[in-house]
Amino acid sequence: MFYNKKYLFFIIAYLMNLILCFFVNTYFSFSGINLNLIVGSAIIYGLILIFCFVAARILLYSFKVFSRIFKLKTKNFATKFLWTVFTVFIYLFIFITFIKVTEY
Amino acid sequence: MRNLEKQYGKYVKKILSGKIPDKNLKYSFIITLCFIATCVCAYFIRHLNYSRDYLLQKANEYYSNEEHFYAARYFAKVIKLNVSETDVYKKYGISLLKLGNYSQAVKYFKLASSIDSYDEDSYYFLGDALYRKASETDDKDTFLQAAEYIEKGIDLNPDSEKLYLLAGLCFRSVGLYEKARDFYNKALMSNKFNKSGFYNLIGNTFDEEGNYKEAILYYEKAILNDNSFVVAFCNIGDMFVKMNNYESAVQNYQKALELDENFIAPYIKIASLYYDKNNFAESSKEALKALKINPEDNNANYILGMAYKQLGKEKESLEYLKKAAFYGNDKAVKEIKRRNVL
Repeated sequence: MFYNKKYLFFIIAYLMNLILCFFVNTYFSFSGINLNLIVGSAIIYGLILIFCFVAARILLYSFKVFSRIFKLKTKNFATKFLWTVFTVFIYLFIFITFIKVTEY
Repeated sequence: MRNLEKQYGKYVKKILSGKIPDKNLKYSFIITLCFIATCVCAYFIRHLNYSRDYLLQKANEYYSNEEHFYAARYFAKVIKLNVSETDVYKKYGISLLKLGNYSQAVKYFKLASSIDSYDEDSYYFLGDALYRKASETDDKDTFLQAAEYIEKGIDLNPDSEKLYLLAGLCFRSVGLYEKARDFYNKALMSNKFNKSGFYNLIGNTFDEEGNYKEAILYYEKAILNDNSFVVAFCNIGDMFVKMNNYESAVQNYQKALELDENFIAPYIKIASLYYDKNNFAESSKEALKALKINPEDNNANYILGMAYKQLGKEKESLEYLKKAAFYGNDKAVKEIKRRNVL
């Protein structure tokens, strides 16, 4: 996703993260915790990026091992695979967190 | 800068007219829009399906299971649906109180008491929330405000022990000992509560004022009302320590032990006294007795560690100090740090 315009993906992910942070704030507001929207969203965004990047890397290495065992051709595939998995993970992460913090 | 604007202007026009040249970009936009639409749909579908009664039932369920985080969430949603009942406000306030959100708790207890001004429970919780808030900030006015609401509660129901106890605590927190004693005496006059407990509390107010002799008199009154009131013997012991009369102090601690040999506090107090008097062997013996009752007591572990240190038993000393530090004794942590530096 947004493979040719990566910066666009980061901007969209950050904007979605801002909205997510608003819901996280209301979720925790009962216990007196109140995150600053800008700082809080930046922290959550950073954590999501790191977590998804590490997860994507692990998946990439697993895929490489798998393709070596079954002798599959994976030339010039790694970067695109890493980016796709990374973006999918970020969307999934945002979706699961959103569902969790807005649950009834 | 202008070139950039032109370039992006063209780009935006293309996106708006649906003519995106880059296939990857086109599909990425479609996927992202679908993702956002899914989130919005999920949000609305979940919020449309639930009724006020269902939310209230859920909130009460969480409340009775003492899951206050979820209880507070559901009560908040119920209140958003324009439910204004004393019970809902009170329960929501209690959940917030348990979560440590005192300011919000105060707001909802005030609402509860404004709807039903004859409910002494609302005044008690309002006073409690204000007391806790004041304890955090050490704000004198808030303590007095809390006491005011508790007094209202006592006027409505003079038979509630917890109201007298909280009123006393509020006044003691701001140094108004005479006022605190007034409330304790009122409780004693009503003849409905444990008299020893309130005499003991009056003794505590004199202790806090530095009037140790008067405090002893009230602790003795507590014992007169209840011979098995061990805490009062310990408190008398403490007063004698403060008056530098160590023999009488030990005698009172031992009286407490005669009544209840499994009461750990007197052992620790005696051990501490012996330690202060440089009698480290006796101090370690008493601390060991305390540890037999509760091996996890941080004070007993600390005193034993320090006594062993003075007796030259470095290895044992460090072992007990580490235990004391593990169970939360700050002095033990400092001592271990000091030793590591040396």
